[in-house]
Parts: sequence; structure tokens; C-alpha cells
Amino acid sequence: MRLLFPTVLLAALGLLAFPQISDAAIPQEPEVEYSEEEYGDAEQELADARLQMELSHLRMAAMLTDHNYSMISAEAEVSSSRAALQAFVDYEAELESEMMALEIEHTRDGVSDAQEELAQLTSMYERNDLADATAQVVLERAARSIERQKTQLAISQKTFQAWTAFGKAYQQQELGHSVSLAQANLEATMANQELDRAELEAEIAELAKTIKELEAELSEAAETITETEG
Amino acid sequence: MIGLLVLAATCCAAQNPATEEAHTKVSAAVTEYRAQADRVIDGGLEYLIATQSRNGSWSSWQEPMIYDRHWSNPETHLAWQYAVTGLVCLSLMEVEDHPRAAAALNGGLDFLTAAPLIKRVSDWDTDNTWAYVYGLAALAKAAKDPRFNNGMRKVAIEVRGRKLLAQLNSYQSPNGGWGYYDDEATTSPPQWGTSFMTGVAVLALLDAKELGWKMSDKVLPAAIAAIEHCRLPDGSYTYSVRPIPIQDAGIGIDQVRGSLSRIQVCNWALYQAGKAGFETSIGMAELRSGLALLFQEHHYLDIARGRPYPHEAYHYNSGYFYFFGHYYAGFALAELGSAGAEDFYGALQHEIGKTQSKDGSMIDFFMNSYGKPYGTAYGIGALLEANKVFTP
Repeated sequence: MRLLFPTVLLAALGLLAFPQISDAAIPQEPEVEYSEEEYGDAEQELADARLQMELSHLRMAAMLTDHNYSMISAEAEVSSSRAALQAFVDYEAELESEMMALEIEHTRDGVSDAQEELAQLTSMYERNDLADATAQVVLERAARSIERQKTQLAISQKTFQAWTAFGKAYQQQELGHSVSLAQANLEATMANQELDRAELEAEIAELAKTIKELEAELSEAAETITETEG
Repeated sequence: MIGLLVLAATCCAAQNPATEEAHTKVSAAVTEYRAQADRVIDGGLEYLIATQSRNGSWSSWQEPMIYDRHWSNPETHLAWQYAVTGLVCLSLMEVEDHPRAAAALNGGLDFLTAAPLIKRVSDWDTDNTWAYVYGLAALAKAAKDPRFNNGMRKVAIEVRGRKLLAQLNSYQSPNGGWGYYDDEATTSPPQWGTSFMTGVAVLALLDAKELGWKMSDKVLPAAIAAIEHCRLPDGSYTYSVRPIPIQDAGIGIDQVRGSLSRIQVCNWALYQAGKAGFETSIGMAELRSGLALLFQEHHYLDIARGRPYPHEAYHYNSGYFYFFGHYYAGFALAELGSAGAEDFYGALQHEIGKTQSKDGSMIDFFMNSYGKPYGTAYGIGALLEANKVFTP
């Protein structure tokens, strides 16, 4: 209020000192006269801007739907990877160890079975007069089977040892990485979505402003044309 | 017999001294082969007589071998036991002047007539058909044998024989053949048919028809047509009765090398059907060429004999093809007459004789305790048939 009073006072003094200054002396925008052709172009420009606005609204709707899907996916990935890690810690690692131990038992039995098979085949061929070559083929085949079973047993034991020493920790680490990556992915998704939405909103606002200006300009042009004709 | 051969050779000598010399040598060889064959038969008979069960049957589920577990069930074994007993009886019926063999035969026939009916083994396993074909073959042959044409045994043979005929006919596939598994559709009647089982069935059915045992007029023509359908241009037979029989190339079974035993039973069945008035493509020339193929490619059966897994040898030959094929080769060989039979008799005697164990048995496949009795019955049966051609 202390500032308003001197300002108004000074303005009043100014008017008193320079009473001859008319409205015409105040700088104004030059009047534009529009032709029919120019009016048509302005109309087209406004129609294009409105169409662009409509498209931007559609893009916004599609983007929001896509964002929703991405968010659900990213959140599910985080949830799943956490559950996988938890399951591994809670029971899967132990179960895997037990399965490997069972596999070793199977392969150990396989060696015993193959040895038993060879013994029975040997007995069968000893008790029956069959071609020596056939007996040799079959018995050697059975002997090779024993060797394969022994190799299988060694591989099973080695797999179990490697799992216990390295594989278990490695797998747990991998699962932990999966959780971190999923979390980071979720955060990146959220940030990108926010950016996309802001950019599109700004574009829509700009378009709205343009349309408003074009409408005003068009209205003014219409008036000019009417006066000229009059 | 030898005198006749020498006489024949002498007659020929007047026309061609070289032929006379060759024929005399062959005849001398036949004499030696015949003596060896008789020894093989004697050994085989002793084995069969010694191993007959108290109930008159041969073989059982006992003495399982290493690969006999897993899939068979009690009815499967009853079917196999019945079939093996029928097969042994078929061979024993060819033995004359042998009281102990005759007694064993009586016991075997009593088992076949008195044993419980063999039923379908399971949904997919129809091994009961082996019991039907070899049971019917044995009882139809016995019904034609003068030794069994009177008394209670005659009645029992006919009653059970007719029953087996009905059972066998009810298992004829729509394609006209018989098989022993039904694992594709599990239907009644089953869908699968094989050339070789159909061959065995046709031989039994021809005997039953001759006896006047009741059967549909469609059974035999359909079965004969099925075997004819399996015959391939190279003289072999497809394993299964297939809509479109195709000869295998490469390692397949449907060619001569995988069909050596099927050729013998199918040729013999079609030949016998022809003699019974049916129109077939097999004559003497085809019997001879089939025998020639058997001995030309015999090593494929040698390689397969004794292999523990079915169809594991080249061209999917199984160990159990061996004696099956030689048995029916013995029939075909005898049909050639003495001059024609000479070409193959020595080979047949050798390929069978070489398989005989010290106890007189022969075996081509490990299968509970069935392997030796069926192998021995097929083996001596082949020689007994082949010997007929050289018997005055």
C-alpha cells in the first residue's frame, strides 16, 4: 500500500503534464488485413494442430497402458527373483545335494548291476554250448558296460563334490544378482516412465497453447474480412 | 536207401561218367550226414525225455535268465509252456519204434488235452496265440495219427483240438494274419499280424480242415492271402502283414538277410496250401530257392544265435529265429525228393548238429527254461522230416 500510492500519484501527474498524448500515440500492433486465401491457410493450420492434439492424447493413453504392463512385469520379476533366492536358501540347495547323493547311489548300483550281468551271462554261456564268438561279443559288451558304469559313478561323485565346494555358492550368488538386476530394472522403468509422461504432457500443453492462439488469430481474421467487405 | 542211391547213380553213369562219380560222392556224403543226423536226433530225444515235467509238459517259468524279468506275467508263461509242449509233441510224433519217446508223447498229449484253457495274457500281450497255433498243430496232427485214433485220448484230442481251433480263429486279425502283441490298439480281435505266425497257423488249419473240424470258410483264404501279401520280389517275406509291403534296403529286416527263417515257414505253408487246392505262388522251384537263400546267407542266423536281446543282430535277426527257420526248412527239403534234397541235407544236418550240447539239447535264445526244449524240438524235428526223403 505504501508503494501503490506514490505510483498512482506519479501516473496522475504524468497525465496532467502531457494531456495532448492521445491513444494513437501509444504504440500498437499494426492491423493485418487477411485475404480469403490466407484465412483458408489459417483454418488448415488450426485443423492440423487439433489433429496433432488428438494423436497426442491417443499416444498418452497407449503409453500409460504400456507403463502399467512394464511396471507389473518389473515388480513380478523382483518378486520372483527374491522368491527364487529364498527357496534356494530355504530348501533347494539342500534338496539338490540330496538328489546328487541319490544319483551316486544309482550309479554305484549300476556298477553292481553290470557286474552281476556279466557274471550271469558268463554262467549262461558256460552252461550252454553256443558259438564262442557270440559269447565273446556278448561278454565283452557286458564288460564294457561295467567300465561305463564306473565312469558314470566317478562323474556323479565329481559333480557332487564340485557342487558342494563351488556350485552351491555360485548358484546362490547368481540368484542374488538376479534380485539386484530386477530391482534396478524396476527403478529404471519407473524413471523412464516418468520422463516419457512428462515429455508428452509438455507436448500436449504446447499444442493446447498453439490451438488457442490459432483460434484467436482466426477469429480476428474473420472480423477483418467482414469489415473489409462491409 | 543207400542201395537205391547207388542204383540211381549207376543208371546215370551209363550216360555221363562224370555225373556218376559226383552223384556217388554225394550219396556217400548223405550216408555220413544221415548217420550224424541220427546221432543228433538220439541225443535230442534223450534230452527231451529226461526233462519232461511230471504233468507231461516241457519247460516253465523256472530258471529265469537275466533278461526274462520285467514284462511277462503268469498267463504268458502258461501260453509258452503250452506252445513248447505242443511243439515237442509235433517232433515226437515223427519218432517210431522208441517206447520211451512214445511214452513221453502220450504224456505230452495228455497235458495238451487236460491243461486249463489259455486265455488272453493282457491288454497288449497276446502270446496266448503261440499256445493256440502249436497246440492246434500238435492235436490236429495227433488226430490224424493212427496211434491215437481210438479210446479216450482220441476224444480228448478232438475236443481240445476243436476248442483250440475256435480260439485261434477268434484271434485272426482283420488283415488275415496272426500276431502275438496288440500294443497299438488293444482290440479283439487284435490288429497285428505277422507272416511267420500266420504260416504256422495255416499249416495247423490245413490239418484241421482235412479232419473236418468246423471253421469259417473265410479263415484260410484270408490267412493265405495275408502270407502272399507279405511276399517280396526277392523271395523274402515282410515281418508284419502291412498294407503296403516294402522291401527294406540297408540294415532293415524286410529283405532276405532278415527273413531267412520266415522264408521257410511261409514258403512251406503256401506250398501246402497249394497242394490242398488253394491258389498260391509257391511251387517246388520256390521251395528250392528259399532253401538256397537260407544256406547262402546262413551266417546272419549264426551271428544272431545266442544273442540275449531280441533283434539285436544284423538285419534285426533274433537268436530265436534260428531253429524256427531250420525246422520248416526240414519240411521243404524233404519235399524236393532225394536228388534235390542232397543239395541241402548236409548243410541242414551241419547247422543243426553243430549246436547240440553234450546233454543233447540245443538252444538259440535264453528264455526261462523254454529255450532248450523248443530249440531241441525244432532241431530234431527238422532232421526227422529231412530224413524221410532218404528213408525207403
